[in-house]
Amino acid sequence: MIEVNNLSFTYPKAKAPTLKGLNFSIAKGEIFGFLGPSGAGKSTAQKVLYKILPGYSGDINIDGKPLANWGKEYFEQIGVGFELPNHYLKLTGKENLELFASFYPKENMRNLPELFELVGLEDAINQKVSDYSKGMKMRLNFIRAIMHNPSILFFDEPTSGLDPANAFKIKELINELKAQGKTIFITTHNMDTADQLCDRVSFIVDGEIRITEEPAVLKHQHGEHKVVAESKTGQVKEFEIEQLGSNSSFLEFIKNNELESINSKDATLEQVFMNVTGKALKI
Amino acid sequence: MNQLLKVAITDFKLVFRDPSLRIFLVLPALILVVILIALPALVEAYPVVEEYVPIVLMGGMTQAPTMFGFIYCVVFIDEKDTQVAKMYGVVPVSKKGFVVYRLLFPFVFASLVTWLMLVVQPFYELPMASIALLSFITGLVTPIMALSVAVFSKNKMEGMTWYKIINLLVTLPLAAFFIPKFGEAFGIIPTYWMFKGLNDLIASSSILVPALVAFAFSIVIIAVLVRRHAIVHFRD
Repeated sequence: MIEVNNLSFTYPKAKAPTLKGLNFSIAKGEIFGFLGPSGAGKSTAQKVLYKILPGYSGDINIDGKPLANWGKEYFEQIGVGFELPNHYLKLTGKENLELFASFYPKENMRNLPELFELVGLEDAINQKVSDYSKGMKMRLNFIRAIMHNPSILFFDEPTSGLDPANAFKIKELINELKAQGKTIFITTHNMDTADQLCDRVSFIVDGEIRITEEPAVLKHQHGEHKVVAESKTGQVKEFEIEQLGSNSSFLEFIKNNELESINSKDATLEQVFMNVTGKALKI
Repeated sequence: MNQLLKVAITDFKLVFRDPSLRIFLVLPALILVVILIALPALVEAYPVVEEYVPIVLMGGMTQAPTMFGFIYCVVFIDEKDTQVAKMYGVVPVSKKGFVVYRLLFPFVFASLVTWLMLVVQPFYELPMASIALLSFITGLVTPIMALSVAVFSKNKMEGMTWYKIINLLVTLPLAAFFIPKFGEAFGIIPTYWMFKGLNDLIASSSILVPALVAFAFSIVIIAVLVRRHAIVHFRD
């Protein structure tokens, strides 16, 4: 459980704060996402939470205990998946993981060959990381973050640099971690990742949270309350959702046409983001 | 201990798998060849050189520590370049403690090579206990070199420039023995006291004062550098 109240942070020598009074909480077993453009403060917020950036103001509690009161045992509880691959290129994938595994209690460690298999890197386990593609390095980032079975996970752009199949696999694995009761904090500018993974998202722009809500609720709230029906012949018609069951033109349309699809006219998360923040989700 | 060994082995692999660093590992053997074979031959051919043997030994004494220091500063800068350093920022280990015990092995190796050089040099009979003390203190140049270059440099190019500057500073106090009148002006650099220790040892004087000053001076510098390194190395 992560609770953040009025979190502000200013980088040394910066004139303006990067984070301006953030308030949010992440429950156990929840995937929470920060969605925002580059430079919005997403990664900075994570760095404060994983104690790499000191000198913040506000209250942060991790499992009911102030962040400042956690010692090095905090790092046994957390796993961090960095935005960019960061490994020793001259070491093999296995050597990289074995090195960092040596910092954690043995009893918590997951089986390394199984982890490599989990992300399809079993054939590259003894290959030097310099020979890995970016996607392979990102998958190595991912298994390094989870190898010590942490209860809180931070993923910064977890699907960045991955092909669609591997991005899907990583999203599946993150959902499995959620099912195991892990607390998961994701930052992304990728609306699909946020939409598919997050139970709740916060839109963050210029260091401020503009809104926090479930993606489905946001899309519904900002969408048109209509359904779009398309017939097999290509005829498309829109109908108000309210009283749809007694809408005679709708009933006539579905009676007289063989349907191809019916969809609600929800907004996309990107449209909601632009409506709420007035900004586009640029990289 | 297990963790310390793991990190030391990894560091060795990183050095050994880098062709540009691997070559430095033969340097200790080269120093010994110079001290055991080349220098005696030179003295025999040109007796005037004998007067300068203590200065050559002083210079040789810091070669292994600066070499190991250079190797480790490259490893540190590489960690920054590849951002692996950030990973050490989120593992359950004391950052300052990690920096200290990571430099323990190169310090020990540098001290051993310096000790061996002073033991096998064929010019003077030096007391073993004093050699050990002096080698131990001279080994402290390794962490000073590695940390100062890593702290001041953002990348390998800057690292090379800083290495040259720090190496010059380490060697500069040798000048004190050419201009004894102003010799103690070089006392603001810790290696001056190490060199003076060897000079006093050769002259059969006590090395206690220079050894103590060199030790205290080096420890203060290392403490400041470890603190700074622990702050800057594990962040962006």
